[in-house]
Amino acid sequence: MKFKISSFIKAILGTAAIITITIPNIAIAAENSTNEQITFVRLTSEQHRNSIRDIFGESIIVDGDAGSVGVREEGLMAVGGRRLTLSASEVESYEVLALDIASQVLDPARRATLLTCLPEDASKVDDTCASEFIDRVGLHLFRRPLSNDEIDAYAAMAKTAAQNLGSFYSGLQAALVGMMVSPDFLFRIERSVPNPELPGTRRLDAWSRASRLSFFLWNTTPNPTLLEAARSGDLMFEAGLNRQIETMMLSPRIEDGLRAFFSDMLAFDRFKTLDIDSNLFPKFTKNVEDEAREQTLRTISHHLLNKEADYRELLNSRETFLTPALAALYSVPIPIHQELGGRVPWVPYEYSEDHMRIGLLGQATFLSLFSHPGASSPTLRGKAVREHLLCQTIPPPPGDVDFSLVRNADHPDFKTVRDRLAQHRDNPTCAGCHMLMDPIGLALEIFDASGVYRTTENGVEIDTGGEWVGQEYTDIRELAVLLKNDPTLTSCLVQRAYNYGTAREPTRAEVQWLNTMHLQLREEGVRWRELIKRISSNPDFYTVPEIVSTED
Amino acid sequence: MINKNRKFNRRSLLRGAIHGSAVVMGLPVLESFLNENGTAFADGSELPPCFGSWFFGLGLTPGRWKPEITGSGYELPDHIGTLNPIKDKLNVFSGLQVFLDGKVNQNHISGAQGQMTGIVTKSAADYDESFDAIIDKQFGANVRFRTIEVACDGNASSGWTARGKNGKTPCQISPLELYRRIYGEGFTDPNKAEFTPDPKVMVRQSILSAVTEQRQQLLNSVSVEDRSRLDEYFTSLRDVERKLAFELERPAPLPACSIPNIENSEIGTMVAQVQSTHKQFSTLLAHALACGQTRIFHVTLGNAFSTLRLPGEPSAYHALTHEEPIDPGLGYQPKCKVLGEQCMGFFLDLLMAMDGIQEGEGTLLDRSIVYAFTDHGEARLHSMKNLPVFTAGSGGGRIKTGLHVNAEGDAATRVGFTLQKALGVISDRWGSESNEVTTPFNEILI
Amino acid sequence: MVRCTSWRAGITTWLRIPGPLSLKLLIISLFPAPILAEETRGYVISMVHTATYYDEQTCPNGTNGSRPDVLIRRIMNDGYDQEEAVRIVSNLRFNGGRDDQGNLVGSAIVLGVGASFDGNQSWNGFDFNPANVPRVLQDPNAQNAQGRYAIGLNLDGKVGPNSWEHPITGETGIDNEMWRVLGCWDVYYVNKPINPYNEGIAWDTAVDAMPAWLISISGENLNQDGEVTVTFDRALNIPLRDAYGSIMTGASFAIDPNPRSHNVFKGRISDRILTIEPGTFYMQGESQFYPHLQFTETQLRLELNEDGSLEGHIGGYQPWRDYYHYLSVRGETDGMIDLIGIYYDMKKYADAEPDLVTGENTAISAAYFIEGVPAFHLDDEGTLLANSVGPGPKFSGPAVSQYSNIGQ
Repeated sequence: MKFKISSFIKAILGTAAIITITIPNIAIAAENSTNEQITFVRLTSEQHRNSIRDIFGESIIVDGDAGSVGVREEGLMAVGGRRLTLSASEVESYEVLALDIASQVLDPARRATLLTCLPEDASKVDDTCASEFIDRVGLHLFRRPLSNDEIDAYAAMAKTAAQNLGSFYSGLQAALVGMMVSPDFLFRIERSVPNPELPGTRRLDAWSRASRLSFFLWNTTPNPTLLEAARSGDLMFEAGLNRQIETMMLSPRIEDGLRAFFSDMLAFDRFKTLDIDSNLFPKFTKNVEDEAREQTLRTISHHLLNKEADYRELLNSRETFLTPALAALYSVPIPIHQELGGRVPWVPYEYSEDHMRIGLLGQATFLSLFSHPGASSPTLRGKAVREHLLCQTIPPPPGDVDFSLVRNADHPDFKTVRDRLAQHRDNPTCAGCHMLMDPIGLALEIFDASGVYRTTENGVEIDTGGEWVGQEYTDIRELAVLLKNDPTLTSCLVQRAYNYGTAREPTRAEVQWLNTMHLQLREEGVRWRELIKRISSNPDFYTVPEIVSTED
Repeated sequence: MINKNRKFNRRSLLRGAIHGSAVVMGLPVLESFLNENGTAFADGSELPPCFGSWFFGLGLTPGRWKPEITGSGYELPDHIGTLNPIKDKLNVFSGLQVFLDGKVNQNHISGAQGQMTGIVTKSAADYDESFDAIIDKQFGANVRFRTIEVACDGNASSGWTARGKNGKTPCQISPLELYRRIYGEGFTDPNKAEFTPDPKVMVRQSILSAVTEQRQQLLNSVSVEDRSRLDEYFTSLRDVERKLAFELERPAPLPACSIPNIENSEIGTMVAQVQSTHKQFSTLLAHALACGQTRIFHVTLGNAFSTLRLPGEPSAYHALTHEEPIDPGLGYQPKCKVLGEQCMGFFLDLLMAMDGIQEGEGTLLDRSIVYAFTDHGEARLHSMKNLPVFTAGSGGGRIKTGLHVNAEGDAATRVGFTLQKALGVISDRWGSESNEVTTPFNEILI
Repeated sequence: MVRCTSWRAGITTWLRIPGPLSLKLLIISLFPAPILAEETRGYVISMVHTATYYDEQTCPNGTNGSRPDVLIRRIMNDGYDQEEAVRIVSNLRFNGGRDDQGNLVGSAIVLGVGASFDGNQSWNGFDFNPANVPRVLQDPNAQNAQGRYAIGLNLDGKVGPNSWEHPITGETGIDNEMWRVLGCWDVYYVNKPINPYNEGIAWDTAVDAMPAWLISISGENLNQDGEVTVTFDRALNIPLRDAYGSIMTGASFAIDPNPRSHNVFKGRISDRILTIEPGTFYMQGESQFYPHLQFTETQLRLELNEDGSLEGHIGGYQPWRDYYHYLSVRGETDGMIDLIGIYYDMKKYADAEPDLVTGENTAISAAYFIEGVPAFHLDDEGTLLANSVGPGPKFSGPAVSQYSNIGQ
């Protein structure tokens, strides 16, 4: 190992300052490096944040989101994560974040708890101690052990920095920054080898298994127990794997995993650009928006985890949680026990039987995310139900279509959006798709773009009736029951959960057992814990399809 | 004014040096001084050209923006009359279209995609390298930021640029954040005499450089698709490394460089909010160019389905293009026309910000080319014909200005191809299928 | 202090009842109406301020102006001519109020907070704030409101020589002597939608921290004419605001079980107008302007709007020192009035509650604008006591933006 450090004098003269760290060729420990193949998925901002929290502790502040929202593919941002890379401005942000995190981690107050050795002289290089630190922290950051060459490489960074900046700890910071901007940390790198049991497929190595499992169930980096199970090889065997899954199921972190999944499936990325016009909908303040999002997650989490209830019932459940501002938005009374200036209280609330605001579709989250800034949209809401809850695809509208009528609210003959959409559907090119979307959305027209309940539009009573696969409904309560009983609702959940965990679409063979499992669950009850348990204990979950186009 | 001040500073620094006053660094070598006019470096090399792309959604009111006369000496119709102050530095292109070649019209996407990447894809998720990235490679510029992308509607994914096939480049949405990025840590005023490279930055640069060395190892075991993603990540890493390297070098003095003031404005989609955000970005970008921080930028007013909104109006601009009836008396959609004119006003704001920076006898705009494009010729019908396109600035005398070019139905990619040529890209074609072009608009090339 | 005792007699008795049992009994007796009635609607008060109305008859000799006019008059009383007085006031911020010779002018600073010692300066040598002992200064004889019209209620059932006529309803016999005192000060010389500055600002600042004031109406059918019960209560929680800064409709409020601010009136709805049978009224507040609001012979005239909100006036005989204290605590800086003038005029026009010893009237007829938006009322155990009915108005309360062109 050698260092080529240009002199400071040269730098000061105004030519480019260069410090070069020459590192040896890195060979990564793997089961079988000749047949090894790598795929990778970008960490989400939340996974990045959770990883830092779990590796270095709650007190480390991750000040900012470095990664952009991402792209949705096959209905999920998680699947899109397999297509994403990092732009220069994102890497730039991650580097700045890494500097900040590293300086917090190696703050004199924290050092003692994180270091297992101390340098002889804090102003000098100490390769042994630095290597020990890199070895230990690297395991968690890269979710696998570092090879000796890698340890040497990062120790070289530490050494260069320590020499230039005159501090052992600055050296460790440098190595830490290096690890935190490396692809091994910012991406979930999945290493696979040919699967001897199922030719034509590849199976993940134990470390990649641990990551896939941990990000699926907990939305964070594998914890020490799980890494240990990877190291010991336990994860490669059914019994060992199931033991880990059982343990993980018992942790409250399972809620983090559930929240991350539903935030993805229900398109919460739209919150980033949600722009309901508060001039027209003054109750929909920024606080209400944030609380609506939390209401949905709280409701789902309580229903699926605390009550262990059936997913289908989320469609017509009357139980939810409200804050004072949400209760005002929904115009329902809640008992208030809020200290002045105290935290916003969350109050469990159950709607009465005759109340229209039931289930996920009656919540401000869904209603506002799929509205225009200034008006509700039956088409957007209907499309969202089809695409996000039922995994169906609606093609984009054709060109050269005149929509003038649809939102001319001043039209003397067509006072409600139902009338206007009906006219629009007279155009045969539009009718096909609109017939799929509009009826669902029209049942939700009793809620405006901000989720406020209403009974009329332009003075005319809103008709919420329609037909779902041959069955008529008169309002959202009946529609919710029809949707709840539709097998597509649950098959979509199963499919999305699997795709989310693997960040890919299932193969044909996988679709078969997913279908079988779906039918079983419909019989037994579609319960979240059971679903993720079955997915994560299936060997297919830890495979990647063979890609033939690998280049050497 | 700025010029004079800077010159004075330089002289006073020289005096200071002669009198042996405490100047931390040696004075910059005289060779790197600008010539007397400030239009070029003293060794005769001129200030390099800059390139910007500027997107406005939903086009303009059909039939109301095309100048009557082709070539020079035309009058700007009322609809785009707001651009009059900059008319002599402007080119107007009419009669351009994007061809779909039988693919689905990805409304509000295909048009802009075709013009920026030369390719119309089946799925909106497939987005190829945009031509500003080609220009960037040609520039190979020694700047802190290879490119800067901004969106004025608070939506980071509103932009139209991409480095490769791995998704569009996210935009910055907050002027304040951009200000911090440019003028925060790592910024060196090119006109300041003192310069001390920061050893911490040297270390940071060395870290990134070492991480980049892992590239080959990872690339050995990835598929072709993943390889391109990984390559793009490593390119990003190298960009940041170069940014740090740039911070370690003494910058050549740029008399026109100054640090702007900006205010923290509310980000949103109301016309006034977008206008204010755009104005702040215009100021920042113009100053960043003048200070040699970047040479390529992209501004998008909003996403493909423009969410620009008038106060109290329930429908956003996009919805209005479809919903607002054509006024039988006027023959157009009145609110849409107003919004289109607002967009032209925003464009003028950017151009004025650039033209307001005097560099010797010319202005920053004069050595730049700004390319303004849109998604539809008639947004009401998602039409891909008669797209309004503008360029402003001559790229330091690389293209002619003050011309109206009537393309008479040609592929809109001809404009992008012409600009690539003007800025030195060597290639004989650009685009694919019917959007492939081989002939630039020679009437504007110099 | 005798006055206060007579005012608070009933309330102090309540509070003296010891032990939890009596409190419990009290609470039960507090809410009889909602249980018996077919329907109870709840409201949260979104705005309260002195009811103002002016026309060309109100101040035929001009108004008293605002804070600078008060200062200029006081300085001129000290013997300066008008031009120099204007100069002194204009330079107040720069030199602390000096005349052309450089002498500090003691009357050049406003009365109120800090008026006794403002840096090196005290008010004309007083070592106390003269606003606290206004009688030490002479009556500046400010202009009082006159004319035919003022907003308010007929409190004594008579049409007397000092009665006004209501400018909107045409009702005669309106008693509002407080308006006579305040009406010619520029900050009160306003018509809706402008609020009196001081009260508007104070309410806007306080409403986010002050337990809300509530109204409920109970009756057989509130959409029809008929007898009702009207209750005023204080909440345990604060109102919510919407994106305009308006008070949010449909919010929930827990009623404060402390009976101090619990007021029950027999009332009547007639042609969507709510009125009550006179009684005493006391609400504890936490606004900088209204630490409390109290009247005897209280009357109410509220319009039940289509959108579910209430709008109108409450009035009665109010201890005039209450109002003087509201103003003097905030001082002339915010008040923009001459505190001394207000003191003498309040005393002069007070028209009720004669002091048992001196015979001087301790209360003045007054009227306040109030506005309420639909709200849910619950008890502290979560039982619903009043329903929120109607979408509420687009703007309500101190929403500062409502007078700009947003949403027009």
